[in-house]
Amino acid sequence: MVLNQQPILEDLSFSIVEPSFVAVVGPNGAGKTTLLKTMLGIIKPVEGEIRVLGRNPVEDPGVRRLVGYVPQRERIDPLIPVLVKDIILMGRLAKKRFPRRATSEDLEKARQVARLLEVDQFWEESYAHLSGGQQQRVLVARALASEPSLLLLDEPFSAVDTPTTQLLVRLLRELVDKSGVTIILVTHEINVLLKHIDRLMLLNRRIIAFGKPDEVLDEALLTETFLKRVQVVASDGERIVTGVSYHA
Amino acid sequence: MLEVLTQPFMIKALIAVILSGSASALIGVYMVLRGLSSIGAAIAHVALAGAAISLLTGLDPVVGALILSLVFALLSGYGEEKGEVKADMTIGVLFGFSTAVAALAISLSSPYAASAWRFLIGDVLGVTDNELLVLAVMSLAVIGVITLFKMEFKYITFDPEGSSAMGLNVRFYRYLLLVLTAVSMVVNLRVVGSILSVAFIAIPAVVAYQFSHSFEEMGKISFLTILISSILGFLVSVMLNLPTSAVVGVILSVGYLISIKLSVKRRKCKSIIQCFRVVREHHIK
Repeated sequence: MVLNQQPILEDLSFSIVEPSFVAVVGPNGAGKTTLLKTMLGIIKPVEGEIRVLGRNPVEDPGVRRLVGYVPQRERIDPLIPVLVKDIILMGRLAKKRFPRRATSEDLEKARQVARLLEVDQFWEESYAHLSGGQQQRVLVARALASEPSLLLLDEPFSAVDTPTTQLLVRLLRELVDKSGVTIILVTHEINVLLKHIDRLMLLNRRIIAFGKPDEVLDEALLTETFLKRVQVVASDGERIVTGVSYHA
Repeated sequence: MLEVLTQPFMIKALIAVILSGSASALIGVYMVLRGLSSIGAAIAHVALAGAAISLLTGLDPVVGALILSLVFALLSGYGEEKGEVKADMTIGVLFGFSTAVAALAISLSSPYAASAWRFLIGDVLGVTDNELLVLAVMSLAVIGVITLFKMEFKYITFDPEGSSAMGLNVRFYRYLLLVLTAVSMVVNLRVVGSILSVAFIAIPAVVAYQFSHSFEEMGKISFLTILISSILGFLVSVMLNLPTSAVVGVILSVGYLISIKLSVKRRKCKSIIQCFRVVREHHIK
């Protein structure tokens, strides 16, 4: 993948079995967001082919209707006056054909995911009035409102409170187990996810390692990914990654 | 004095101001929120250059203004998309260039200098039946398209990246918005002139922003702001024998200052009534 004439990702080859919960970690500039955008068909690979749910997202943009995407919250201007209900409904209406009218089913589904993400009480509120964690939950609710088969999340735990992080992790795991949704999540918060994910990808311009967390959680591989010494320590029977810096 | 207001030319003028203002007020909501109100200002001056060149070459000024402003709108959209040069730089250069071309064309078209001058500061009282018809068709077309695609414009303004990921053709709607801005600026050229077009596109939306928590509220308040300012400005200009567009512009600016003072956003309250309560309680304490 090339962005602004600069190669971002090279020699990428992997496949994900449905349903799975996959976390992608790597330093800043590793190409994590580029990977998600390539899966959406927003960025075209220079060479090779990518298949999402069995379809090529570049040649067949219709596949985007089956994919839920949560962008980095920082990329959205929080001062734009828009109601929470409009944002959540957007997840369904943007994927419908013109004139995108909301049916009672759309409203019911949107309310349902709002309750799931515990943002139902803010239904008529302005997005700008919410805290960072609440805004993040609204964005996840928007992605879930469309009932996606594949959910892509870009840094969903960035600058959000601990209860929101815990709620999201629990909810995402349930989605995989109960609804069969495949989740690919780009994150800096590797430790909160370790117990819950099926696969872990270490990425820095190329795939350093991809497999079960136990296999991938190797100090040498993590050090190669983050280009500095990273340690894996055991605490209360759980493994914790320390010394991770995202500025390679 | 009130008899003057019932004269056909006065009624035509009032309709013209409200029509052009309404289209600008609605476009302004999206342009201001996307941080592109300077593109609106630049397009207004490009339209002036187009009208001035048309006068020089014998073309219809509206046609010339429309062609040139559409070309500029599409070019600025292309520049924004490519992102190789900051949009602000492109706009700054084209703003200066178009104003210089307009000034040159006006000076060269000395027999038509008065006509060209009308496009600079507008001449709402001089609007003819044909001009009003063209203006009405163009304004209603702009208002109609905005109403039709309000959902899409809202989505691409709030989150262009997410909208694209959901399958919306963000590129198409971004260019459509620029084309509508160009048409709206050409309408304004004849009514309020290129200088005040900027006020028409930016101020009602900025006033509305102070009191809005949704796009719908912002659109309604922006429309009401232009409606009240236009009627008030019209009455004041007739009473004091002043240029209508300039008076409307001054009233809009005063409205902006008042809105900053009363802003529900600055006071962090949800409605203006709640804000009044907060202010009253503060004074009682």
